Amino acid sequence: MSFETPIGFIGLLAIPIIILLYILKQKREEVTVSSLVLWSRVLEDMQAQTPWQKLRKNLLMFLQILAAILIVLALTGFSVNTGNISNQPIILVMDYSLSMASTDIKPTRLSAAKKDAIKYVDNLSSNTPVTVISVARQANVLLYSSTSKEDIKRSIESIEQSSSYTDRAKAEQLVLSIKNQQADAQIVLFSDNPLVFGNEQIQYSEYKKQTDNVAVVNFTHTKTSASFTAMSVLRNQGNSDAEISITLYGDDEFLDSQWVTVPANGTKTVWWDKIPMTVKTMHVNIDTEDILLDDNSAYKAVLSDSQVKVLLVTEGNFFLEKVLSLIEGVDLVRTTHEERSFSGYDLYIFDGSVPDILPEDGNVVVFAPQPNSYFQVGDWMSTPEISYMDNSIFNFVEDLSFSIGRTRIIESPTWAETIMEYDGNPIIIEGVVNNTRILVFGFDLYETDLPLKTEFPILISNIINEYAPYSGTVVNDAVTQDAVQFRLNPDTVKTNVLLPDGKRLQIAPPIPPEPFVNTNSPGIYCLEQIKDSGNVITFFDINIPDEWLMEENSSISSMSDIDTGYLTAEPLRNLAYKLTIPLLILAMILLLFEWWYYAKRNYI
Amino acid sequence: MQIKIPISGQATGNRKSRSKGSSVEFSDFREYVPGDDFRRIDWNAYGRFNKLFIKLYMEEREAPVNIFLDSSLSMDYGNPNKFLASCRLAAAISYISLLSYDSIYITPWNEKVQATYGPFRTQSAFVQVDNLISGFSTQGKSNFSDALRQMEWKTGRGVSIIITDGFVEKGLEEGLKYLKYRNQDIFLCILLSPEEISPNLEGALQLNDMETGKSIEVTMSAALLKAYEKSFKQYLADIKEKCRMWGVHNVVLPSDMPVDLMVKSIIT
Repeated sequence: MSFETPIGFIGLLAIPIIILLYILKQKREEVTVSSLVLWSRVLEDMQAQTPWQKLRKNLLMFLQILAAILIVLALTGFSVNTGNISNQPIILVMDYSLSMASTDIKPTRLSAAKKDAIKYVDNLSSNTPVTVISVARQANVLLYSSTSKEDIKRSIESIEQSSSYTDRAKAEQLVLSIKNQQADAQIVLFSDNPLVFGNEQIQYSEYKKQTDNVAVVNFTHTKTSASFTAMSVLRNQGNSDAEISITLYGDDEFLDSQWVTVPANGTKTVWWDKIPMTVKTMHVNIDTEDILLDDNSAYKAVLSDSQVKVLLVTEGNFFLEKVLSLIEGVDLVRTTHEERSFSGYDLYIFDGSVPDILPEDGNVVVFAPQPNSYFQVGDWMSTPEISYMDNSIFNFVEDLSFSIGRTRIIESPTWAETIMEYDGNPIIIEGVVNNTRILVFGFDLYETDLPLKTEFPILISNIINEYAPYSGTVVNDAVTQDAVQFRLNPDTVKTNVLLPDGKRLQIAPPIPPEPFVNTNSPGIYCLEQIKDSGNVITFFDINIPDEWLMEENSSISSMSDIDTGYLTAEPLRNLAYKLTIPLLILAMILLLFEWWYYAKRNYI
Repeated sequence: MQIKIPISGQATGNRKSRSKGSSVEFSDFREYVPGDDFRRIDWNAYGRFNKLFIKLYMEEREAPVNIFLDSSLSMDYGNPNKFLASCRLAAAISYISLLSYDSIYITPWNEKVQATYGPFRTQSAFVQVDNLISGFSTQGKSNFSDALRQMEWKTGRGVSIIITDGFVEKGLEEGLKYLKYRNQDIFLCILLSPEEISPNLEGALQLNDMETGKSIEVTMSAALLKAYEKSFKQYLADIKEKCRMWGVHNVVLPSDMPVDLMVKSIIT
């Protein structure tokens, strides 16, 4: 139960007034009679007949006090929770995504939601089984079908604010899987946005008072002739234009500041130019405060402009030589198959051969391999129809279509994954041998029309980006809670990651390292590769995701497509039944009874 | 007033006495004995029985009538006023008694007897009686037995007529017993006002007793008035029962009853 308007309790002051009125003598008309002998006898007779006369003397006072209490309760908005009277199972879903850190509801939306959820649990009947699910980037079952209110409340209190968006698909999948096990369960959602769980009716408590928030949703840069140029994209989630101040920092030093107006429910691109080439990290920050501060900043680690030393081992491949020479940052050296010892390069491309001993200081790409000791090379296969697997070397060339005259059938070894195949036979494989990454194309470029495609240079560029040493540490567009997989230099002995808060974490050995998951905080991270030949320091950035965009993309369908009849979008406060009318009716009945009693009965 | 009582007074009155005296009303015969008044010899009886008999006659004697008039404050109430009605009744009884050659004594009382006035014997004394009664007023509380005990008793056997409203705080019962002890033939006249018989009160009231000064708070309602009526009837019934036990005649007279009807109620 709850009291919507506790100020109504001021009406309790009526009670001492009522008592005072009864204490004070009622003004009566004085009548002189000859004698009270008979009246006294009447009094004695009546008191003898009804032993509770003394109580009846005060009965009207008690009735009036009771009526006053009922009216006061009505004024206070007294209500009782009717959400769950029986032991119907409850699936309690708590949204802890980034937007729940908004401060339009004090202290934060998440704090208020947790408080209300705990109150909701308190009002449940005992023996009500409750499943607690938290939803954000990940959906987790914190407690399954528990009847212990203490455990339920503890699990709710343990929820900590996330810095990521809500993956609606994951949330829906998990909740529905629980619902399938508890068909009669009621889904209760505490969030700032209504989530859809199939066709299930949900009870929804909303935590959103306003949407006045401007976020930095994109921040990138490019190199011009003598400087960097950066671009930051701002999104205004509010219903009115927002005039904000935004500042650019380079290596934590002030560089520039601008006043911009971001249109309501729209975006604004802010350009920054003439950024010195000496900066290694950049950071923009919206100075104007709004209801969510976490998304007011974005970070960018400047791309390294170091050259990639590539050794092309071929008897002659015009296409490869030409395209490699055109790719910026590639320092190409060509040699023939007679060369037996390979070292000193970042990337080795073998055209038509596989070295007996793989280089240890760089990664390897092979075209048209010969039989070797690293993987089985079978016969040639003619005119295969190719099918792609998802791989970064095919970025921006997903529609690439080319013909292959013939290709080697490669038996994919245990250390490799197939990224292109025909009829179950690998055509392109990739893997790691002794810390050296290997990419193998089973075909000779001259036996395909691939080099004639406009996408060919992009493909080769992707290969360079992916297999050059620095690329293993390039983290592109990573957002909070992303797992980052580093591909360290083959000669790296130990690797540490320096977090934005200054904490240092060792991630290697083991090599290759586990995916790095300590990405909860946005900011600039530092990757420290320790090698015998000298340490390599690189930076990477983790940013707050564009929550609006990510949640849209994670929806199974647009919210506008969903019939809102599935949602019982009533704030939980409305699920409590307000007793104002029944209380007032009861008070009226008491007053009528009192009138009837006063008029019809008698008391002395 | 026709009341059967032995007569103790010596004066001749209009009341039949058991003593056989020289009045004209024949009573009985007895044999002549020497010394009897020979004028009383009944010659008809001699002629019949050849013996001498003398006539005996009912000798009429004076019977004192004591009128005890309640003059406590409670009598000064009602419309018509109870005390006024009781004074009229006392005057009427006095007149009838004087006509019957009875002697009357009038005693106003409250918690004590203020005085006993009388005897008044002849018709001509009525003016005196009337003036006396007219001068009476009400005061004080009522205590009949205390009043009687303080009284200087001037008569022997007789008739005692008590005119009161019955709302005697103390001593009505003891007073009646005392009168019985004094060989009185007692008439208890309960004289009440219409307001006392059937109160017409409404609302929340504070009732003040005009005699004792006490008060109680009541809220009038139909049920309360009904309870009063029941209590009133029971009260009168109790008095009637006690009067019956002690051989006291009693009558309840409303103050708005004509005095002749009051008297008729008493004498019949």
